[in-house]
Amino acid sequence: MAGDVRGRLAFGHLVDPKRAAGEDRDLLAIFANTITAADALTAAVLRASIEECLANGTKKVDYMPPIDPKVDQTLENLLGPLPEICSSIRDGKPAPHRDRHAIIPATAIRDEEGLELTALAIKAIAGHLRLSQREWEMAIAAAVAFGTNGLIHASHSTCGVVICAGIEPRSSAIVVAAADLGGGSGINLRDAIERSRTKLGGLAQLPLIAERKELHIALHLAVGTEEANLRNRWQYEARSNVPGWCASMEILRT
Amino acid sequence: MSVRLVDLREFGRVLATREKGRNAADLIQEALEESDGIVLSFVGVEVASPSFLDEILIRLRGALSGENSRVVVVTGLNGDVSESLELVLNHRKMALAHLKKNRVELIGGSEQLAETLAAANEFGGPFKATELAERLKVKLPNLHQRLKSLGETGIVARTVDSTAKKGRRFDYRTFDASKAKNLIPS
Repeated sequence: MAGDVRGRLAFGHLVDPKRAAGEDRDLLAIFANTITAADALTAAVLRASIEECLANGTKKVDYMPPIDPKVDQTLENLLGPLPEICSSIRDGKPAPHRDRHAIIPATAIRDEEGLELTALAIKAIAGHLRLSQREWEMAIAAAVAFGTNGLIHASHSTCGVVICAGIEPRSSAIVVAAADLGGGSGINLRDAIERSRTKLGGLAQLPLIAERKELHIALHLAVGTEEANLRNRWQYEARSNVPGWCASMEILRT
Repeated sequence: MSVRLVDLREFGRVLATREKGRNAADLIQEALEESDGIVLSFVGVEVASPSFLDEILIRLRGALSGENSRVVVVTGLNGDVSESLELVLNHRKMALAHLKKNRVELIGGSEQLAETLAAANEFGGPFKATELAERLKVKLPNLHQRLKSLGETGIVARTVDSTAKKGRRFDYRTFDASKAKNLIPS
């Protein structure tokens, strides 16, 4: 990983579960040292990839943190505590302290109870991070929509639904992100969003909820070879393959 | 009037999936079959997704269609759940009775329906369509249309008036807030 890997730029770094299952490797090495910008989706993608490799027999994970101390701090906080067999290669330097940019560190959710705890944790920490009520309610709505979508449509995913939420240090946007690696190739994203709209699915309701809360949001969805982005209206484009669903919502703040 | 409480907190503090919504709807339907009125309590519920709420509303409308004699109110809505509920009600073009501080108000629906419910509440008990039409100064067919909409989700219930000498007449009622006093969890 190198450079700016925020938002949709993170999609390309997901481990493909089919390849992970086929490879008998002992070590997963994550070279994050040249990353210059990271956000919640970066952390969700990394954590999902780690979980996937561990589920497929990888015995050790080495994580080379970003050299830039600010980016290191952001990613360290967004990644949260990693599984025990993961090592941060820091050459004796201490890991950064917790800052006020992580709302929910990347967490693998495997059932509704996990999703409920995540939602409640967002509410619990919101005050410390000075999020307004509208903002944390919106963040919870996104976490619940992404999490529910993943639990239903990627129930066979070995990494669960990884959810992460944080405050983007440069723009101060609140980012809620999810990755599930649960397949989904062949899904027509335009049809899926339209279906979600008519059947009151969670994803398509997010813009309406934001409107009621008078918040400006941007949404990014990717599955298979399709991508959809919403700022004022949905725009669709083809992209290189993304294993499973990836989603992120930004609450844009002025 | 027998009133039953359906405590949605039993399904969790975060009500997200349609499956959970269907389970809650089963309980609601059961309660409706065994009572004259139900209180849907959201006390302690932090988040209710549109999908969850949609399952409940679809079932409510189905269960109350036809000659409805049961009243339904929701209560204990926090701001977020209230917004989500309004969103779903608008999508489905429905309304619900909301019990808030011992008053029954409309959530969702048009101004005319809110005005109709407010006027119906003023009777403080059973009333006839003609009486309400007179109070609202609207024509009877117009009022029947409003009462039909309010009946869809149990905001107003009706029972056949057995004393009517000519044709079929109904007695209408709204939810009696005093019946719910000891039911709602704190």
